[in-house]
Amino acid sequence: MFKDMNTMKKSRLYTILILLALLLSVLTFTPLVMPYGKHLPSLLHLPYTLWTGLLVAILFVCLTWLAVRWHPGRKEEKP
Amino acid sequence: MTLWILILGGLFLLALVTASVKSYKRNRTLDEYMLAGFNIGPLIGVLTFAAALFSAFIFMGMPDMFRTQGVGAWIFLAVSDGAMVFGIIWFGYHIRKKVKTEGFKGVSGFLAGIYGSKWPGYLFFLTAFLFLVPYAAIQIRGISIFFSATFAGVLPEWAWALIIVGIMLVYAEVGGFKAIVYSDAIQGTVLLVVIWLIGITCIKAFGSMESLFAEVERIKPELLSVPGPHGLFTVQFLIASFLAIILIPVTQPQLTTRIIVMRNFRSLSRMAVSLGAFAILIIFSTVFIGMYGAVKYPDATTADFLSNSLLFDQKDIVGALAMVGLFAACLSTTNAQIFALGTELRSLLKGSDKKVLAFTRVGLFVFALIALAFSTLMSDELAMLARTSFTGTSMMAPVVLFAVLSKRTPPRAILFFSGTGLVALLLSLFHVIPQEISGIRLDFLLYIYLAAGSLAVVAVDFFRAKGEKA
Repeated sequence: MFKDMNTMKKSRLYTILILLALLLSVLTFTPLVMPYGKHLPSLLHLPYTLWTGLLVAILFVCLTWLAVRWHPGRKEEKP
Repeated sequence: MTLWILILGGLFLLALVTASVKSYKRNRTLDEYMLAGFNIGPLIGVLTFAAALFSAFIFMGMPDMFRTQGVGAWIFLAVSDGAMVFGIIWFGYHIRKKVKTEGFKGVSGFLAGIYGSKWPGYLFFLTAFLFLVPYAAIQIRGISIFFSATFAGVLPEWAWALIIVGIMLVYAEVGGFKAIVYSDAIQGTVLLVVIWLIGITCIKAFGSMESLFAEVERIKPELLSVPGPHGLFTVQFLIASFLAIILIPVTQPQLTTRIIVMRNFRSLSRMAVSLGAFAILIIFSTVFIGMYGAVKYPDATTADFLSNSLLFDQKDIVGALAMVGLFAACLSTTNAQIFALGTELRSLLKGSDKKVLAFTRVGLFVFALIALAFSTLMSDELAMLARTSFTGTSMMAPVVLFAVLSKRTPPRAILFFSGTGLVALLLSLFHVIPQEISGIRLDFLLYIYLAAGSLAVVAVDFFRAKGEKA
């Protein structure tokens, strides 16, 4: 029973991560990440779209790392 | 520099020979030859996936894209790659689960088995052939032009192309998929090291990153924001590219196969996370090479910009390593694509292992020759041609996803939507129909069409199943 609850929890967290990845994808194409014709404010000398894009790419990798940890089929073996 | 090229090139070729010989086994099975026995670990996995994915397109295409179109190139590729690695976990889990029950020899054969018809397999194979051969050809052409320009008068372009295809065929035929995977690992490592050495030199030329971007701002500030100086990076273009790129693992067979041959899901997971980090690292350094070119060579041709920034502005050893890296990048992607076509052909063939293997080897030879012939006809817009290849194969995404996700035999009606999408895309590439309709890009419209078609097929199938139950 505890095992089932654990699996259910993992499955729910995994679904939340999928929704977050979808949200991040949508946000990428808004002026929040890529405003037309603007390159300020910069961060560490990187123009705006470059540093926000870098942040988005890093967030995707972090989401992937979390998805791996909470994936319901983590223990699957070779096909 | 010539001496360094000979030393490093010799070492690289020695590594390739070692990989081929190590992978060669006299009595290996067809699965060992074509699919490395489904036993690839995470480290080799990430390097082979990266080498098959990134190629000369990263080395030559991306710096030029940053130089001419600006920082929007980061959203175009790096952000899309980030989303793609998340997709690898989702898609990888489902396709591997299906492969357990259905078996796997290649995506075309896999589709034919699940749909209970050869047609989905033929359609997938045709699409892969139509969009992978030109992509392989452009890499061969890019590198042969580059080599003949650098070593003026030593060999003509066609001879360089012939050398590349010759080496590729020999080690693919001898060592099979395992040799390709090992050589990809060598090439992936070389690619990462070289591109960062060059990137650092480009920053150092201006003293700091701040001075580099300040100089770009002074000369051409439009490069620092979207849509860029030529207006390429519109929201529509970037969304369509995003979809094409996240669907690469689903529809480009050389990468789908690399997901399936991973040892287990744990290895696949580690590979995906590492691939994301690898992609960010490698693409980030191309920003600096591109910005360097925007200041130093704003009006130069692509070939001049690349030969100067990658070779002649570098220390001899770095320039030589760049030559080897370029050669390696071209070789790895081209052979991944040609071998994938061989795998797809094999999965559609029937007969004894010996007979199928013989046919597949002939197939590999023929595909390589076709790519070689095509390479004399291509343009030099590497990044855009790569994108066309991704968009073309992505038309098959609904066919693959229905096969992977359906619990029953998937409805064949989905073939109609993917097939017509493919025809429309081909007609637009040949300028028979416009590439934009009422201000909306055709590829963008085609993704809406495929999504709507897939939803319609799901709805009809759902109500039919409900009716049957009742």
